[in-house]
Amino acid sequence: MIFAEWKPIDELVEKLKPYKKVLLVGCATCVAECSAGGEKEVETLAPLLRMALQKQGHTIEIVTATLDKQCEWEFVEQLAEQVGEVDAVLSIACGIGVQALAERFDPKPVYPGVNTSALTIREEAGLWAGRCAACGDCVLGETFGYCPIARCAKSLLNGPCGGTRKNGKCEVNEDVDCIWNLIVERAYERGQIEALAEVKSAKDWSNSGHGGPKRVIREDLRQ
Amino acid sequence: MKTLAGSNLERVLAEGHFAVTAEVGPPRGPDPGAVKKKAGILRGLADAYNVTDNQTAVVRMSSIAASKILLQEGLEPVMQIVCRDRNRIAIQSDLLGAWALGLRNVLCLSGDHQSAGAGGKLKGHPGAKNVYDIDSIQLISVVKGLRDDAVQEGGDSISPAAPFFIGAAWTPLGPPENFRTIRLAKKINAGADFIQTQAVYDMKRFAQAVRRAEDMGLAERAAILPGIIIPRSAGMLRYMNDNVPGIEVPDELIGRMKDASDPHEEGIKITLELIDAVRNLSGVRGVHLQAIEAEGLLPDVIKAAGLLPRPQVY
Amino acid sequence: MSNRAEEAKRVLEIVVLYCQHGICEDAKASAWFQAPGGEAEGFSIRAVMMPCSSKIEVPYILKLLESGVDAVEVIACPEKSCKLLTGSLRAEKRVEYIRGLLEKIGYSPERVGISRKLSQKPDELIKIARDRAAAVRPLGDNPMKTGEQQ
Repeated sequence: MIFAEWKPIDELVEKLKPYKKVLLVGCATCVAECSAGGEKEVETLAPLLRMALQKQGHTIEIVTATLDKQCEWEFVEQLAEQVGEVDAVLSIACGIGVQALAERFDPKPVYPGVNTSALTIREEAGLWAGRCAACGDCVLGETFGYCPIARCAKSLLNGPCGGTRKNGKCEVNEDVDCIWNLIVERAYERGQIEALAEVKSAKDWSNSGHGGPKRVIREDLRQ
Repeated sequence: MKTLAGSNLERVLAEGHFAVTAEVGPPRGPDPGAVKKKAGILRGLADAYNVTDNQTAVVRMSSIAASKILLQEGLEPVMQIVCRDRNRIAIQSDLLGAWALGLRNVLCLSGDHQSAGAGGKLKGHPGAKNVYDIDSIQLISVVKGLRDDAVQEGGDSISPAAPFFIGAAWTPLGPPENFRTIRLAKKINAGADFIQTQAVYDMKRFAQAVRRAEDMGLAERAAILPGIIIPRSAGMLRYMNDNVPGIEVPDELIGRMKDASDPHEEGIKITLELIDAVRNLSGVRGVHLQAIEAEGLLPDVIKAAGLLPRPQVY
Repeated sequence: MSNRAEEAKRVLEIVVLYCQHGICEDAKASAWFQAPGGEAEGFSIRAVMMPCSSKIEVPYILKLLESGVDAVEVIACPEKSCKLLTGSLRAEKRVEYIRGLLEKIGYSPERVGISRKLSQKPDELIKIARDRAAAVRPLGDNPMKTGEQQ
């Protein structure tokens, strides 16, 4: 899922100080899956912010809502009435959702309550790990199902650097496996090490964000 | 003699001499005098001198600038290039500039990630944007393209060609160990002419790794120069063994440093033994000496190892 | 009246969220939470029984504090005795999380606590509430007590 985490509370308090009534909006999809912006988190953050602001002498009214998705206009539209009744909106959806609200409800100020940072999987309860870098040129077919772009700190394409620790972890972060160590192990397990002996040439990054702001049109779906 | 780039290092190796390279770290400041001072200490001791490129992601004088200063001082540099900070456009541009300035040896590395910050001792720039546009092996191909085909990575030509003597790094003892020789092959296939390894202390295992390389025909295609770091204390050896990936130090050596009445002297003794061991190893064609921020130790070591005078090749 | 006397007269509201498995039969039968507490002691107990301590959710406890109660104490079973295996562990982790959040907004983490002992008797339960009240008394009023209620 798209992964996000709460911004520091005091940052949010600073942003909300000028307002009397704020709508806190969550999203039931990605950010709910990473326990940052779903209904439970909305209902955690709302009392927390009220208490934080009260402590600083500001009485604020925070009303709440959680959309199925904040990246679909049909769902965003459901907020129209509530948005009309508040001074500002705080969204704890990913950056896409925040911008959808900002666009639809301009000139109402819309603030992000989270930092969106990665594309992850929940490996186990309470543990999320990056899996995809949205590089636009997927090499998973050549690396036995392990992504070296997202999971190698240097996005190497030709095998591990000299930084693989004795225990197979990465020099950069000892909690992270050297993904190339895993790729090589798997290649040996499947008797396909030769596939990794070939020099992979430089990557074309242009289909990712590196190529400029994305704008994709599918004629078959246009009305 | 037909050479690829005509550098001193290349010719020393081509003539069959046992080559010596040493490392020079640029200063964390703009003073060319600091580089000249190191040049003064090291002049005549090696066939070429590696100039590091913002090693451990700490900003230092650029390797291209420090390399040029060394060249002006009469020392031949090996300009190190990492992939961490520059994309293929900047790298190729720097290579053209490096050649224009008279630099002829490059060492292609992926480079420590910017979270390194001198192993936590300095602040560094952990918030910097990652580049890593290409990896070290792709970088080797890029340099080879500029040399052999006068072509840029994207396909445009350059005129004239920019011939370099191309170096790559090898960590023979890092996991996954059996793949490390395959990766060495990739680097040589991509165009590497000489190889400098991560510091070796475990001669037995290093010898096995070199034999594997020889079996794959790699030792004759590229000159392997094992890296040797002069030990200064048992603590230093233990630290490297536990914390630096790819460095394996046998307990025996740590023990010797610990028990030595003069660790400084013992460290030199061990260094000389290591140099001697690699000199007698088939498949090894030189040695790469490193004395981290202690270049002053190198003159005595190189002399005592019987590696002087360095060959004069024209 | 002296400040100290005024202080002592404040009747603190302690909410006790207790796991039904964590209290003994006597406690189940009695309305233990009604006495002795109260004005004489300076605190009152509002007790809520949970089918398992893991039923406590972070928003629920925060909203209790937001409503102005002085402290919340969770009564859970020790780790090895949880009937639902990991229920009391989850309760403990949530309480720790809430304590961390409170600190971030300038509230004392002492306003939320968890006790883990098996078969608590009525007087032990009252003592837990009394101890919690003593821990939060020096903090002064919950700021939400005097502010507008939501």
